[in-house]
Amino acid sequence: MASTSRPNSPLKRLLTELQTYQSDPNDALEELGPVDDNEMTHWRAVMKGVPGTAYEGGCWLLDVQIPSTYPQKPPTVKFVTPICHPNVDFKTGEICLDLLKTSWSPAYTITATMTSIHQLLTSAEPDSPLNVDIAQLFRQGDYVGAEALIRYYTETERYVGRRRY
Amino acid sequence: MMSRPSVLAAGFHAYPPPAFEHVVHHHHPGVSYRPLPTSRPPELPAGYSQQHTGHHARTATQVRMSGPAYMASDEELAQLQKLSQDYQPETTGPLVGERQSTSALAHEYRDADPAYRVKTASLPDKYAFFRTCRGDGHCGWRAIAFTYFEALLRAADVTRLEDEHVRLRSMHNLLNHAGFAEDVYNDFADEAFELLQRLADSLRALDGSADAVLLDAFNDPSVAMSIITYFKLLASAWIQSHPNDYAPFLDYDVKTYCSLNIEAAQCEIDHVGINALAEAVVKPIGFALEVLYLDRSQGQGDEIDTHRFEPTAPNGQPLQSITTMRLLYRPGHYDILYKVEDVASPMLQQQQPVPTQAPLQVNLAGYTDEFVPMSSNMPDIMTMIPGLYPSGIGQRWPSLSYDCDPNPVPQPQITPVSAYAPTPTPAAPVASSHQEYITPVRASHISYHNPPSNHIQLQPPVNIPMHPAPPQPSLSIDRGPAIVERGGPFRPSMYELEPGFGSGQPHSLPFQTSIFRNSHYNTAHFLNPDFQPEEWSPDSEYATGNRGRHKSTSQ
Repeated sequence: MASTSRPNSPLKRLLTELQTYQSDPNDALEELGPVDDNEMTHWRAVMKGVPGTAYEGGCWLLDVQIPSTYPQKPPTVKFVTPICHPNVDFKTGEICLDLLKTSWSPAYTITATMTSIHQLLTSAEPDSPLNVDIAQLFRQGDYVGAEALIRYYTETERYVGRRRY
Repeated sequence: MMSRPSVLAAGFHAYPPPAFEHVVHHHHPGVSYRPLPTSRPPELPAGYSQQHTGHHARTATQVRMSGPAYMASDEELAQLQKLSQDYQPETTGPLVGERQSTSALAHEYRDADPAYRVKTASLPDKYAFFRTCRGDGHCGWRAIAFTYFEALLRAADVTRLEDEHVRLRSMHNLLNHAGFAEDVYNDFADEAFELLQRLADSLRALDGSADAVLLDAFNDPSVAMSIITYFKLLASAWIQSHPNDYAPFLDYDVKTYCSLNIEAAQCEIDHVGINALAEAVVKPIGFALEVLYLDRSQGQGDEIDTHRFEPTAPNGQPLQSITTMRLLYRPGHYDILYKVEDVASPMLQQQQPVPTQAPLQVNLAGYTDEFVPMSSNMPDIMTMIPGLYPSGIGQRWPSLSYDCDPNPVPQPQITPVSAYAPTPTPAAPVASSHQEYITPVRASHISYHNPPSNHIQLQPPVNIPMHPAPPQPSLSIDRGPAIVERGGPFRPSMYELEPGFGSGQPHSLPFQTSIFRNSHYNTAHFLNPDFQPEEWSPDSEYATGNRGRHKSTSQ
């Protein structure tokens, strides 16, 4: 949709989502909300690692841009903190997730999207890679090497609060 | 299906994508209609995982990676894939268009494949109007949602709109059960409820704006998408709450299927989605949903294949009078179709209270089985005697005029009520109420014995020359000039009259030149608007030996 007759409709929805998140936080996240109170369509999220995996102990900042046509169109989510993952571009932080593209549903929320991204950490798909280096390790079955590389980046690129942002 | 190059499956939309036409449809047992082409997401490799989008052209070009996996053909494919994914078909026209004549369709296809030409040429005979939906990937959902509201409007019943609000709200349990967050779906539901409310307000105000309100709402992208999303969620919730009905037809598990093919913001409706909407939304209110497939299939000759979702009453019996929502399917696209009788202004169908209705039915009940002269009906009969009770006739007339009519009510008088509604006449509003009390007469005349004596008793005095013209009863006035008091468009035949009645009247006109007799100015001529069948005498006709006339009648 090129335009919407009611520009306020994503705002109303986003406020609702924010309230819902505050009353029912997402376990995968440290924080989620607008970057600035004056800019409801630009959010940030801080995602936690997954215990028991190579991403354990990690912490990543994500940038969430919400289009004016939200929720009919998906938000644009990028890793700001570099992450070593086959389906995330190491430099740009772009995420390869069909939920963020073709299979987006207006029934999803920002926090549900974050949950999906969190699940992506443990269910990589090396056959459609954005990070070919790590994907190639997976494809060649070098799981030890892949895990070591991921742990390395999870540790060194860890997001440590607003100072670094 | 899966082995098809994924490039072909991308592009979620809309106006006849040629690739779809040749997709081999696999039939599911129990589903009698043709599975519609689904725009299957292109990114489903073997070992499908829901989370990943497809290949990226970038990977092949930006990354210093070489290997057997990156052959030129793959690169090309990836490039095509990307182009295909980014492709947005140019969509023009309103989201939902104005109603127009289907002859436009025939015109559109006049140079097309013969299969289309034949089918579109026969379309206007049965389906007079259609309405376009913009082919932006939502057309099927939009068409059903729009026709649903439009069909509700056709009933012109405020209570029904309010009932629908309640019924839809009661389905929110299903939504909750399917795991949709109330905060999320309420935004979409509220748009649908608000539209119901505005339509109800418009009906209540009798301002005739309901159709415009509906069209405007569906041409507002925000409102329309909210309502479409709401319908999608209802369909998804329905499928998920009836997994056993749908799982056998799905390639994935129910949940995955729904998220990809029902809930996704960009997904064309497929046969499962249509079925779910028909079951969840359309059938429970007693609407039928018809999908006409305008494609190249040669199923039934020139006929367009039709699939109909038929509503049933709670007891499983088919419903009697139902509103039908019609969609026109062309490969990859849905529009809305109408029969002439579907297109009636709600104002015309508004039920007007008819004060004389109750006594009519009472008399009818007493009369149809067997006529027994009693004190209750004798006075009426007495008024039929010329010269008696001239003043009483006015009040009694309405009841007599219908109930005692020995002839079946002529069919044309009943059907035009809806059939000709598009060209409204002032008489039309009453005509629909008219229908109400005529129907029982029609239903009962089969078992009606029609004793000869009744003819005389029941004969209305309208033809009696010396009788003062009875005051016009209100009913007759409203019915318009074409309908005489007796209940049909025809005045009584002389054969119904008392023997000898009117014997003094000359039934043949004084001047009888052959030119006049064969012209439509002659009331004995069938083209005369006041055609008098009994004036036509075959004997005299042939006796004149007019060759030309003879020739024409012996044709």
